[in-house]
Amino acid sequence: MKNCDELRTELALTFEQLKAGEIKPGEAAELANLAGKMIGSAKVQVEYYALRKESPRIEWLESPNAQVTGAAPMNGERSDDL
Amino acid sequence: MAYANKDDYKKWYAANRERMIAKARAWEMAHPAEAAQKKREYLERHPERRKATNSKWARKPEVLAARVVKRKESAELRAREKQLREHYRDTLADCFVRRVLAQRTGMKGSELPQTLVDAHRELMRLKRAINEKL
Repeated sequence: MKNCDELRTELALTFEQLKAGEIKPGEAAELANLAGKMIGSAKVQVEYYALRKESPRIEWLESPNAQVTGAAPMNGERSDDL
Repeated sequence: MAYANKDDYKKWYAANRERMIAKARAWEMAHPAEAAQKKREYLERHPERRKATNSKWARKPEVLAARVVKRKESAELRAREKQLREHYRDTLADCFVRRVLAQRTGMKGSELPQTLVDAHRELMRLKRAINEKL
């Protein structure tokens, strides 16, 4: 799962599977729990940069279709296009 | 009145400010239709200034206080607001998801990125479905 959009797609898929009865609620709950942790962690990162009055690109939060302008990504590693 | 430099004009304006405002006001009173048209054109040219003026007005303490009083007195208004809140909650509207996501953080919901909001909406939808099934 490389970005937020993929997580969203995965969640939507799980929702459909749960509705169709293909997976158990417990299984879906595990995934929801994990997704909640990932979203929480991204939220903390956003809050951290907001408190520091910085607005870097957070690669995980970017949609693959988004137009990229401005600063370098701040995910702790350099991307290939740099 | 042409001035060669801006400083001279500023001095002149500071000395004549009240007179110029009164003159403009008198013209507005004498020509209400033209004045209204001029204002409309100005707002069409600068919609963002209208928005800024409106929000500045809405933030005034007396306006906020009046709104609180009106809300307290009107049961109908409160009921309508409640209905609207429930609609936002049931449909997982952007404003609702943003508010929930911004709880216990130092940020406003409007400061959160849209991708995060969309993902959290999907998570809330899934959690609701899980609670229904359990």
